[in-house]
Amino acid sequence: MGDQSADQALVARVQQGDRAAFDALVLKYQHRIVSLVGRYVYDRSEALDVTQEAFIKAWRAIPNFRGDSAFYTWLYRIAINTAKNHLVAQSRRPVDQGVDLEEPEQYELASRLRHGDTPERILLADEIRETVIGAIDALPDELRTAIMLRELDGMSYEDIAQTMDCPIGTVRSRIFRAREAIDEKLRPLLEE
Amino acid sequence: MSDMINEQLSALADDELPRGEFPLLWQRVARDPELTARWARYHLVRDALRGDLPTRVAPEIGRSVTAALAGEAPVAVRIGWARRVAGPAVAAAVAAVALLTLQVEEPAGPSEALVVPVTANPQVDAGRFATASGFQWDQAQPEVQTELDRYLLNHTDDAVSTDEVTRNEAPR
Repeated sequence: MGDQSADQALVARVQQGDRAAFDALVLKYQHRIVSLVGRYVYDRSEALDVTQEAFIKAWRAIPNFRGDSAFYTWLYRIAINTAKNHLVAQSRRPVDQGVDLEEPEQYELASRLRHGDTPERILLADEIRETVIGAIDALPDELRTAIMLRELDGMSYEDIAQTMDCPIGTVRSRIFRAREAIDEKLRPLLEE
Repeated sequence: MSDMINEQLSALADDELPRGEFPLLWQRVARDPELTARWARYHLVRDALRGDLPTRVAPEIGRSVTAALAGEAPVAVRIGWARRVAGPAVAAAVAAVALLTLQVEEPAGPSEALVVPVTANPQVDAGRFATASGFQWDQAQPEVQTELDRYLLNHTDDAVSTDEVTRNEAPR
């Protein structure tokens, strides 16, 4: 967005009182924050509560966010601090971030039952990843290359245009068409 | 038309939307749940490809945050409130500290007993600050004197405006 990122534009909206802009930021970062908090807070239900609390703290503090750091960096710190405070309150020690936090099947099932989650409301990351990769594999070459360069390599449209030897507008269109094809496969999974 | 909007949304997700296209796109996104859901899915795909998803994904977490925020005051309102309160509070604190500090220093003699501070605002009666306490600013540092005078005057103005705000605000 020129010299302004989507986050900057959305934060500016939030600071003008636009709640929908904050919702967009929540939707953008929700899974990353759950994943981050999950490194500290084992219990899934508690991790979701801590995530929610972190976003609420961000909402309350956002008038003071001046953009000195990226929004996600700022949000990341809030989430970490919220998770650590939660652990202190629970008199637990933080888990080493390097440890694999995959939980046994029994714990997963017990946790679901304890917190009232239904299987329909829980999606396994592997399931989503497989669907996405399957959809990408089925794409025509030019769409697959464009979306992979963007999502996996994090390249800008300009760099992708140079790599693929095509105009930037074509890159934008190819990435969009790739996303549409992936979305078509993913949507039914999320609606099940 | 719909494809054009969706393509803009896709570019926004990549920080590649031209700045001028954002306001109109945002107007649509903000009032269209389908566009909002699409925005969420675009980022879900990204997180999946980059390994940023938690083991188990709860698609409803965003909705629960939104619901939890429903009772929160809008940000802009809170900014206005904070500014109205913070300005006078800071001015009052600085003025109080200045007064306490200066009152420690007793006047040296009768000839220096009453010095009227220089006033930046001629509409304010400067004499009312000098008559009661009988203190004086440090004449050796005129810039400090001017600053302290300004704080006192600003505080007086802010104290009045705070009262007005308090009176005019509806109960929450």
